[in-house]
Amino acid sequence: MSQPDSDRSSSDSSRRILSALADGDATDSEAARAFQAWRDDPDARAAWHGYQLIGDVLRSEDLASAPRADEAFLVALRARLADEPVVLAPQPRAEPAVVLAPAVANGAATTRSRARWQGPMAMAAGFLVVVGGLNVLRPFGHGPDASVAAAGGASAPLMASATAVNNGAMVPVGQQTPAQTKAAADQLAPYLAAHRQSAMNAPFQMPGNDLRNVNLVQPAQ
Amino acid sequence: MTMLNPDPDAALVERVKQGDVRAFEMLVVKYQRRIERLIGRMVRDVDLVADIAQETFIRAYRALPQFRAESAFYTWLYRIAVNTAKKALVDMKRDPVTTLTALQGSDDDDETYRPGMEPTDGETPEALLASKEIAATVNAAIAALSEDLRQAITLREIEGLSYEEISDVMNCPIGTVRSRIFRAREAIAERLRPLLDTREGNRW
Amino acid sequence: MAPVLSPGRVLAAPDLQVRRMLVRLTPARAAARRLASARFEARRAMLPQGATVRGALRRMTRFSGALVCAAALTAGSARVLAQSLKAPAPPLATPSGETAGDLRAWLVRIRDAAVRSNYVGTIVNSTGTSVVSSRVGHYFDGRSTMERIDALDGEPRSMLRINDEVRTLWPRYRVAVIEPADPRAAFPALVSGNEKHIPELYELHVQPAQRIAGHDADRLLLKARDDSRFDHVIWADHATGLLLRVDVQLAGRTLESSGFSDVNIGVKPDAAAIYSELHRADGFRIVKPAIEHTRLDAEGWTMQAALLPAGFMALDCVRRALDLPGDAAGQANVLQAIWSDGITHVSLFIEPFQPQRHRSEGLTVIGATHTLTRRVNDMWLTAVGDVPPAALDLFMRALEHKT
Repeated sequence: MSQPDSDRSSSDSSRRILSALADGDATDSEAARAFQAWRDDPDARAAWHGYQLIGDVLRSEDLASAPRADEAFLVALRARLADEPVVLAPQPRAEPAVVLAPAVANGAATTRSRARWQGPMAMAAGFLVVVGGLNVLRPFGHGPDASVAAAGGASAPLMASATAVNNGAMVPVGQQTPAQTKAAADQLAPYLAAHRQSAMNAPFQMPGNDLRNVNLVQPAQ
Repeated sequence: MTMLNPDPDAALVERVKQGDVRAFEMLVVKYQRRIERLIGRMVRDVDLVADIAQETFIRAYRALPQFRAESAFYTWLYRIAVNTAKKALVDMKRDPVTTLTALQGSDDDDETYRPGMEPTDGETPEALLASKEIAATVNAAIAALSEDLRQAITLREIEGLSYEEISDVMNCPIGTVRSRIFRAREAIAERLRPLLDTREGNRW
Repeated sequence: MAPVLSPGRVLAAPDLQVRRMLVRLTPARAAARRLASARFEARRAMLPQGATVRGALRRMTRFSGALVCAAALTAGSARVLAQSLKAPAPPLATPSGETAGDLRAWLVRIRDAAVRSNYVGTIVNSTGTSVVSSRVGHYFDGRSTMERIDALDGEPRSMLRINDEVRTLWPRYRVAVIEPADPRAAFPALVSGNEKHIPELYELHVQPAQRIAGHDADRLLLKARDDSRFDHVIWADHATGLLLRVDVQLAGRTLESSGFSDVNIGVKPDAAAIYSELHRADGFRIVKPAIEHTRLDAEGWTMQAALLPAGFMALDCVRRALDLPGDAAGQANVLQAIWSDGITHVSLFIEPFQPQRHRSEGLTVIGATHTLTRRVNDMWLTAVGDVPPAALDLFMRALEHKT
């Protein structure tokens, strides 16, 4: 099993990170790379299994078990997880790639209800941002602090992650820097809070929506 | 592993909560053997053990959003396993095989778990020659390690010390601890490779 | 030397055992072990045995008929309206078809169960990139409603509702925010007038039953009849009608999902769980955001009914203060008008345009919630709702200044 040096060193570094992650010692960016390796690299998965097996056997030899049995277990579980009604991660949104018609002054008459969407080119001004959520961190009167911090680790510009969330179905109109996005999020937080509070206990909503505190995080890649 | 330090599974759990189902698999691979052993003490039927273990992980996956980091993930998973097994036994109207009364003592507030200290009675049927070989190989590999590597991995895996504690004990930087544990694992994994490789394309 | 293993016994390799013993004897190792034990004990002592929701709920005291802490209630209104309530009744029967009448019957059953049920559970809200959960308790004794919601993620906070008053506690800030609650939530007799129009706006499809959080659930798809609203999938407990999960969907894809991951229905009402938490707020700073009920036309605005999306009826109009962005501890005065189609809500915020603050015009999407901002002449409009952006656009266009 000879690998070219470059392969060996990158798989080596994956294994190092997995070893650290197994002990809870990986930094956030290392952990992110480890999760990526788990997805992409069967050798990484085998390494993780190996390290866990070694730990188990050191503690108690009756935990030694044939890897084929372990593998069969995981494969079967994967199938069941795929069938699970989605609680943790709903399907990716396919938000229609539509944008509003340009703002019209008050009083301009349009036909009722079935507004026809114009294509993205019709957007005269403005932006379109999809975010994981908005973290309202402070009580009323303490100023909003809508945090756009990703859950640790280096964060890519938010616009890029917005398209990643939607598998490229969304076209951000107008580019915004993360700072601009944060400013926009700060601006919106109190409106969202006020809206949710007035819709509180709506009969056909789950309770707790007004208390909802959704984090502005990078989507899992 | 007693709850002495931040849960090493915290990063994994957090990742799953962010929507990465694959990260849950990493937790499964880590705990599947222990969970199956635990269930195997309550239930004799081997196929049933695997089914109940699967059910345990599914329940844990569903309940993960309500898992708070006040206890270790494994402690919480352990309880789910016990409850799932009890429920399965009740559902199947079978008499519990052995240690159900022993497990009834564990109440909701018990947060400690020390592996290696439960009684083991009865080999699970699937621990055949292959698993004996694996155990033997691990032992031989440990014995062949240099003192530094052996001490590092023993303190980590058997004594459950954190990297920080190990660096105290061994009087070396944390980076060195990380490196020694990695090299110890690699050395053992190298010896295990012939036993673990299946060469049937991508596994896992 | 390969150790001999006999089946059924844990037998560590001799040399490994020796290693373990040697490791134990190292003085530094013993010191580390002592330190570790001390940390464990300290951590265990810090675990809030009583203050977690689970701890409090586990120590349920028997419900006392006399709700003692009258000071916490807006006693006058509670008493007056409580007298209009009936005693708890068994849940209404499940409808059998997919007619408009059936849809109304389902909704009455669900709404009724929401008000009358006593339950404790965990609710999870997912938007596809994030997951947030809350621990929820809801109690109704035939006269009063109490509710407690603890956020399990993010900044610690609890919302406590007693009839028509809501207190949100922020323990780390030591602040209690007091606001009025939506009276419809507490008093089923106050039926919102537009519920009878719901079948005109949504088409009922009864779907195969499922199990949610350990309960058999009826599943309904409320399919939007036009483009001004989303589809809603609703799961309701078969035995009681309690809403267990709601998914907001567009063209079959889920935008957002909220549901119980576990729930215990039919618990004993537990006033102590609410009052114990209220007492935790003793000494907190009280904040009462100014909310003043008004009317759009009294404020000089009108909505052109012909332009509004179908079925949305005006629910309320308030003048209120909103926090200003940044660290400034100031507020902006805005007018908020709220509409509902019976299933979902839209808010339209109206305020004078301010160039320093109002910079970003456009659409922001969070899960199912869309927010549209736009400058119109010298005003700044913000529309928010779990509706398609097209509908928000219509609200904005329908707004007209009275001359």
